[in-house]
Amino acid sequence: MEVVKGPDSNRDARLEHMVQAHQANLLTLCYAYLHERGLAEDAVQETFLRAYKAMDAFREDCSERTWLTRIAINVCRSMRHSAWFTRVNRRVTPEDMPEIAHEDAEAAELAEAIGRLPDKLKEVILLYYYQEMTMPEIAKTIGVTVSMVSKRIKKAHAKLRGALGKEDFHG
Amino acid sequence: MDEYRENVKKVKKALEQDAAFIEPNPFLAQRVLGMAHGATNGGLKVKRKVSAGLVLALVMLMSAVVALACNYSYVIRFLSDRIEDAEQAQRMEGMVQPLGMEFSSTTATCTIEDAYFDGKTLALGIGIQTERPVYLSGTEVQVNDGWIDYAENGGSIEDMWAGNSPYPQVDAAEQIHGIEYTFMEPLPKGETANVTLHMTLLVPQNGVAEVDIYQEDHEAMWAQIDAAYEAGLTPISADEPHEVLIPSVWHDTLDKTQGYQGPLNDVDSLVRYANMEEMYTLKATFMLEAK
Repeated sequence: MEVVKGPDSNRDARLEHMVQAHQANLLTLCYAYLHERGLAEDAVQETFLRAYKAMDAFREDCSERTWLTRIAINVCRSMRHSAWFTRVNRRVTPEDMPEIAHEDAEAAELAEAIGRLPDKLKEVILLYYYQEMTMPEIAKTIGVTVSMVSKRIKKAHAKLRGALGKEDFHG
Repeated sequence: MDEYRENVKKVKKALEQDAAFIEPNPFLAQRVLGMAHGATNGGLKVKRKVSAGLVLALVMLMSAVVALACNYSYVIRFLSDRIEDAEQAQRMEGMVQPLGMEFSSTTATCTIEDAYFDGKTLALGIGIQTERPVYLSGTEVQVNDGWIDYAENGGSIEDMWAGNSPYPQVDAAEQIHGIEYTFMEPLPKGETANVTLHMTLLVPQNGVAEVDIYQEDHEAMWAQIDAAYEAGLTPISADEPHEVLIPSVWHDTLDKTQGYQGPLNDVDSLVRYANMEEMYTLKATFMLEAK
């Protein structure tokens, strides 16, 4: 017997595909932004929920990944600015972290330096280098001008070079 | 490989390694669909996933915040982000020495509320009430008539604005201020220390001008700082903690190709070169026992 699929079935299938394709990427992005596992997982779940609800409005004027990234950044921002987040100590001690085999010390240092950037600089580094978005895409995502994005990337470069040494990060 | 691609590779490796311990949830799509449809799952409405650990942590942290706000002394609240748990907070609370020393001028009131001193760490809780944006500077502590030889300054009121901050996003009037020093050579338990605190409250004479100290063109940065100074404004960094900047005139041989300047926090430089004025200078002497 043939099963007749309605519009919801198509949307459901697309959501499943999106989760399959982008969950790992968004988890890394949200963890880099929020630096807490539980919050990152909640942010990714909320991102896909919002994406599902807005799926019909997605006009595909950008890639699916860029669209999801925009939603995820907004979700992270909301969580970051929630009343309790700013009052809670976000510092993670080494004892809190699971052991990672064969950790690359240089990469760990860069992750830590990115984590210490102010939010507005961290956002552009995540979007520019991790999500490989263009400056106009970033500008649209975070709601600033392209020149402001460029300025923030330069600022972030200066801070990362200051933290890591010039040869460790180009800019 | 061009520099952009090299940075992409480094950032991806760094972030993916950092988050490597988080596994994707294989049931996430079903969970999201359940939430979106408001569907039932075995008769139970599917709720948003919030881990039990996170809920417990939140409850504990919120309880700790509330408890700290309600039950702990000023200096312990100032130190709260360095305190591991309620047990440690209680232990430290038992070592707090109340001071309650109030210093008032026509425009500001400073209160040295209390102190924590275990022979190695000296922390003071300081309240500041004022309607003007105040820059705290020249904070120094003497113990037994000698300047503290300290290993690190864990949390200082230096480089911070208090009172009615010029930054709307920072409600500095609500901030808890304090100062913390860690001694290189701890004092033995039970020993008494004669402590003198020096601190100056400065205010901009005519307002502030923000300067981006991370801009690539260093000469332009110095030009902006100098222009603010010439206009009678106080140049400050656009980035937190918004330290006050000193124009190039303070030093004849300054190399303007250098982007950074060490913030000069001595009161004389700030008054002379940054269009600030002294609002109040405090010198307080009191005795503390190493507990």
